[in-house]
Amino acid sequence: MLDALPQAISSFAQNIDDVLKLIYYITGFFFILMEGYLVYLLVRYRRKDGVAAKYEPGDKWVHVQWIVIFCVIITGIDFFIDFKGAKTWDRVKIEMPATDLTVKVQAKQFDWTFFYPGKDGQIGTDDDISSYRELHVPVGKKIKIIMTSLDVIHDFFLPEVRLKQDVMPQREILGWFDTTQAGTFHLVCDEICGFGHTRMAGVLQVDDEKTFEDWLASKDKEEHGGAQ
Amino acid sequence: MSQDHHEHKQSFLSHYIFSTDHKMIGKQFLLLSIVMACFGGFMAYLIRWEVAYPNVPAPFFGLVSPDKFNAIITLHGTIMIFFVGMPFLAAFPSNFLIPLMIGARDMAFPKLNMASFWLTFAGAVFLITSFFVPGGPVAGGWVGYPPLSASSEFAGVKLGAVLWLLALAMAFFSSSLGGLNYLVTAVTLRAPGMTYSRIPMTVWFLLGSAVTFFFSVGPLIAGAFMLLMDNVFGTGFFLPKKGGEPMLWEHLFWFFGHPEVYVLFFPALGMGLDILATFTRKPIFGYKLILGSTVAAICLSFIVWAHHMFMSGLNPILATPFSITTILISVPFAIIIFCMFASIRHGAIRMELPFLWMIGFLATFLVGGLTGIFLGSATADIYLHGTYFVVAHFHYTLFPSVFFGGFAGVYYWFPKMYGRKLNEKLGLLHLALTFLFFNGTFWPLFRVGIGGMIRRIADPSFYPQYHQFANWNIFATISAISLIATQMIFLWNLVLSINHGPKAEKNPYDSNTLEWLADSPPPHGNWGPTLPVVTVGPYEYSNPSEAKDWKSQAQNI
Repeated sequence: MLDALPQAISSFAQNIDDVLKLIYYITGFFFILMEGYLVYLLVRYRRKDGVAAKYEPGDKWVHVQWIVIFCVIITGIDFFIDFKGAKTWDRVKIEMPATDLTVKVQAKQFDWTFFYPGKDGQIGTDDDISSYRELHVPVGKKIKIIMTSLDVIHDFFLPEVRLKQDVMPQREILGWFDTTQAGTFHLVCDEICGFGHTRMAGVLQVDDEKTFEDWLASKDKEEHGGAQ
Repeated sequence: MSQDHHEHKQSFLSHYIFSTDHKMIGKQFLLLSIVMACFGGFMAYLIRWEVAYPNVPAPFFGLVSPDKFNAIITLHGTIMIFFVGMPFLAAFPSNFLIPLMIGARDMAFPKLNMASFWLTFAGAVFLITSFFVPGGPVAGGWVGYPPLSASSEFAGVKLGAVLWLLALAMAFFSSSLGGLNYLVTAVTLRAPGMTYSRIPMTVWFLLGSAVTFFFSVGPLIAGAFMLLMDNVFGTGFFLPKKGGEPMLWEHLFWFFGHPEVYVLFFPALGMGLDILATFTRKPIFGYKLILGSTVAAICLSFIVWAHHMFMSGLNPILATPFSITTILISVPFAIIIFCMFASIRHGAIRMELPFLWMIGFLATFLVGGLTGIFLGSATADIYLHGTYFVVAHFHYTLFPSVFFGGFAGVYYWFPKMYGRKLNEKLGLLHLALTFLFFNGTFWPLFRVGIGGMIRRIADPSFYPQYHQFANWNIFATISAISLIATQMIFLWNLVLSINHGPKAEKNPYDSNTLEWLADSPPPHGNWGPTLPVVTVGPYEYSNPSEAKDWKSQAQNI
């Protein structure tokens, strides 16, 4: 089942996959155990002539204690899963590391625009460099993203990076990611946003630093005429 | 509700249409849910068709364009939850069974009960009408997140949104009136001797379902009213441009939305427990433990909602407390499931149809429960949220509850409802094919979801990365169409057996609970001149001190 996962291209993608694997094996074990036990019960306790059912109301503690004990074990396993996952959650969603580049992600019905800081190193100024539907990043660098929407709720999902975040109108939500390999990857909108939602896809282009810089410069020239 | 109730002649209109008899109202809800399931099922077919064969016109409909696709997924969800699940699992059994199982002659408020049905009916009419109004029906998903759902500026939907909200309002109103009625009936109209500890599980869980609905729906009613104002009067409760907050809706919606899953799950559990006891010939193991767990689950169900919102922009620090409550709520449900296993153990199982449906419910719901552990983990959610994995997961919780659980109930109580038996062979075929095709539909979607395919996109062919799942999607679609077609067996069985089935005796299963003491079908007023006097609990099966392996709850009828 887990072999269907797309390739993992960020430093935390493997951690998220590990959590998926952990849950997969634990739930897989209980799935087989419980379905197997159910089938066993049905076969073993089907009606036979002369064999009566046992009168077991289960109203005394001694009778139900094994159920409670089993549940305590299961709760322990659940907490273990969450404890394992919490570190990764904190790393991806709470702690903002020192980043190398900031990109503003702007969603609207039904496309994505990305803003890179121009010469002044600031986003939100006239010399911002914009890219339509294509998010280019240099490989290995930590990218800070500032996500916002102009109209309705969208969702910024980079499956190979294992990053997802709803993008809310009139709100700036911060996030970050990095990449471990160059290539062309996917960006999709994962929140229904209107009739054009089905085509609100984009591209994550991960390049080496030189290619990225060249691309950014050419974009800058295209947009600002290279006058600066 | 006294004896003058029975014996008097009724016109067709007052007997079949504006009936105040709880049994007729129960049957009306059943019929309504079947009709609405045809709509919901047809939409499921269109959704699956479009996902498997994008941009190919669907037979009997035509091209499912993206705007139609969005509307269809929205109405499929709304119809299946509020106009199939609620009437089929909550209203139908509550109406038909609660008075019979507690030994009452009718509901406490029969007219309110009638109003409750006609409100749902009106809601259903509003919803279907919304297909034909200018601008089309709502198309923002059944969760209706604003701003998309709050203004025609974003979706082009005008009257459709109003009709959708009115339909929901009717459904909420109906379920609230119904729930009030069930509670008052169970508290005030129990037969002599029907103490709280002798109430059958079906009744307890139906009441649990009503209480859960009551306490969760209030905030959403307020939210729906605000959304209506935004749509009609241009207010800005959920519109950031006007200073509103869309995330508020998400909170109000999921504060209701999560408990709602249990509103649909509880009746299936309750009916399942009674069916279990009857066919294993054993008492329910841990009656009080199960009830205590249910109370705990109800309380916890109000503090788990934000696990639907891990990706919403909610403060990420809140993920931990909501993960913990989500884990905790699995404990009472695990206890209930283990008690069910313990109830089967050491039984003398009669492998009859209702029991087998009930096992189908257990076997499939288990998958829904276990895959919930993935989605309860905020970390796993970073990847899985919004993918087909979620679709597969919640269909593995709701479909077992509504259909396996609901059909278990219908097959079990059908002889009581109509005085005739359903055809066994057709029933068995219905079960086997439903089980097969249900798994065939949704199991592949786990894989597709893990592969990263997102839900609610009309045209997967636009995404090269999803082409690898085309065959899985076609497989799921063929299974889904087969699953829908299989339900025709049930309809055929129903039509055939209501008029021509073999006559059923009063108590075909040697079951203990009170409804089996009434005639099949029970007359108006349910009981003869005297009410049953309850002397024992509902699960005195195979008690060694008795000669038979069962003992009816009342001996005086």
